[in-house]
Amino acid sequence: MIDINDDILLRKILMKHFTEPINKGLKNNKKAIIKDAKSQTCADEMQIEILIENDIFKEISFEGTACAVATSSADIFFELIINKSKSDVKKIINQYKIFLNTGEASKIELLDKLIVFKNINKQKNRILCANLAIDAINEIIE
Amino acid sequence: MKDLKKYFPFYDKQSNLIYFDSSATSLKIKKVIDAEMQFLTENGTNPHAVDYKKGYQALELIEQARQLTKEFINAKKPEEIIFTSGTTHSINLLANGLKKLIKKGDEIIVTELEHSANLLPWIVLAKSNGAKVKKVELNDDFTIDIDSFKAILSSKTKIVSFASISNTIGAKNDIKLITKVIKDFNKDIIVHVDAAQSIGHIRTDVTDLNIDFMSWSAHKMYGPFGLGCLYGKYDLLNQLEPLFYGGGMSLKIESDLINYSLATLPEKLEGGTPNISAIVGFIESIKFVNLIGLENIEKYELELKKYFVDKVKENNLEKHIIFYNLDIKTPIILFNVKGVNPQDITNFLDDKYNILVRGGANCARRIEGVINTKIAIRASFGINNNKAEIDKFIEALKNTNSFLDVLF
Repeated sequence: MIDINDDILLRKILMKHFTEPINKGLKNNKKAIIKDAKSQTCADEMQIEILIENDIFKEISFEGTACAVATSSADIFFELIINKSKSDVKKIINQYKIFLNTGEASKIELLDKLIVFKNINKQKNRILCANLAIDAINEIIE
Repeated sequence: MKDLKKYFPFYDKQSNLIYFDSSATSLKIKKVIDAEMQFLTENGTNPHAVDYKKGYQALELIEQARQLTKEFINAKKPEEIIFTSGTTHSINLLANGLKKLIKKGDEIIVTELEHSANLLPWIVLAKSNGAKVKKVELNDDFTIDIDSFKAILSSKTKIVSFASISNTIGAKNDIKLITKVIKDFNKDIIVHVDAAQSIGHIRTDVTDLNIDFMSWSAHKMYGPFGLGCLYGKYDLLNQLEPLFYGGGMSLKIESDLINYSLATLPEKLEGGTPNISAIVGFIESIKFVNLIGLENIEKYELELKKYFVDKVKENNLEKHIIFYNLDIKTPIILFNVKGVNPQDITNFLDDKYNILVRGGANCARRIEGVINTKIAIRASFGINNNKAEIDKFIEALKNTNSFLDVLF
């Protein structure tokens, strides 16, 4: 478990996923679904490619331009939910939503590296960024 | 020019805030706020209710505002001023009003720098009537290229619509020259100027410029929200089909419920109860601009821009920041920090330095056709700013590599 108080580490994690996102670049898998995630309030926009097999998230990738918060949250989240079932992902999303709004969650361990967004609740306008890709996945689940 | 901050109550309880977003809306002066409040408190009646004194006073205030506006832009008569809810409403009123004049194959000319309000209404008009929207080439300084403009004009050209100062990049067009080129080619081509970005900053004499229509908003000239104007030459304005039909603009409705007669200008195009409190506030915003003087406003804002540009060079900021319009002589700065998304920087400037700027597409969706980016940060200076604030801005821009500080 990452130390939530280790700001230097958290910052490094966020920066790494922003500057060198591991899930960036669409795979163009014909069996995958494509979902657009476009902010209504800023210019952030992403295209997300998702392959779900037997209710399991098998592949996720994205393309587009977005801020550091939107990009890193997408990349971290996709890394976290790969090979997880829709219901497990739903649990993560529920915890993440609470965490974004309050900075706390009852099962914070589910969030893994997403805890880098511990202070987003103090910047209400950035909650939208930290949710951009996650909302798109949530829509698919629901 | 003396420090004008005292005119803006915005700073009374938050003098630490640095407002660099005058292009989105200018801050409001106290007299405007007081005038709106006073009207709402002491009058607040409908200007259509002229049977009693208060209603008549409200009507008189509208006429006073119309007269002042007429003088402000040097229109020929007050009836040439139509009050709208803002620039967007004005341009929609115009584009919709010209519907019957536009036929299949006709052409409307715009530039790629227009904000959405000066693009979408024309696109919608063109689509519905089978006309075409064409864009004119721009010079390196983002102004309209006169030679290619001459080449694009044709017998099909019906309307030319362009911003006096563009919304994002701040390029200042030579309205008089462009209009002359158009009118020399064909005096019947309608020339519309979107003055949203210029009205509170440079003098616009519609008679001298010989333009047919002009749109702007009060909230960009230290005035109230929810109010704007459409200026039009009387005969042309009179040809416009109203956008709204309703009270205040109908004279008679026949019992067959088919025939009706409308009021004359300006009421004909002002259906419904007007935003009277904003109109009263607008009287004060015009008086304020007249008091300070547009020449002084323009001079002061350019002084701020020059000061900023000098500091950028002095601090070698161009090493990590791309500036798109330093050479342009308007108080708008458009830039991007290399490798960082605009929103991260606007958030950083707000959170760490109390500097309020805009990021993103800034309502100009076609900007990518002009500069090599869809999104950028816009800082716009106004008469409420001073050099000390620019110093802080420079300091902040030097430290943009700390942009993640807002999160940790």
